[in-house]
Amino acid sequence: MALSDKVLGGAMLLTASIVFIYYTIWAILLPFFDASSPIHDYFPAREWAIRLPAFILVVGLAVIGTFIGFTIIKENRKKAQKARLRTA
Amino acid sequence: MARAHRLATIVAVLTSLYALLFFVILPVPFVHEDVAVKVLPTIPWWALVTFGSYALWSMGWGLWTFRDCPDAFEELMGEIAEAKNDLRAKGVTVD
Repeated sequence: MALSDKVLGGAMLLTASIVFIYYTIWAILLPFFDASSPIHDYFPAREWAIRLPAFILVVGLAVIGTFIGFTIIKENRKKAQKARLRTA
Repeated sequence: MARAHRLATIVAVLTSLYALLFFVILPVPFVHEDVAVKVLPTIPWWALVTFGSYALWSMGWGLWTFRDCPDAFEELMGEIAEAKNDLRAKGVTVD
């Protein structure tokens, strides 16, 4: 169990570092390079540097909101059932 | 409350500084204007991505450096089962 923890932790560390470095270069450092520089071939068009996080943010908030909604509905249903059992 | 105040102050200062630079009220020093125009709109999204990466890194670090103790785990599971049975015997709905 400790080994799988370490492997998962290591994967998360690696992903976080790669995402941060790639996105920093893409959003902040690329405009400093000449338009003809070969470095631009490694990155998609820069408008995606804004669309991608915006999309992920909206989807993430929707997922969180849906989960909270489900939980509230389930709890209310359980409470209603309990009240019904007590008065039955 | 002091920590929240400090964080709120820092966020307010940085946000106003960013607004000043974004609406070109202050020029960005050492950087050519066309480059600044391309970089500044991405800064809030970069902050969001940085926060997400930091959160992921922090969780990964916690997992990597977690000190596992299997004996304490077994003992704790036993105690939980004991407590559950005890409560069930007394009429509390458990799990």
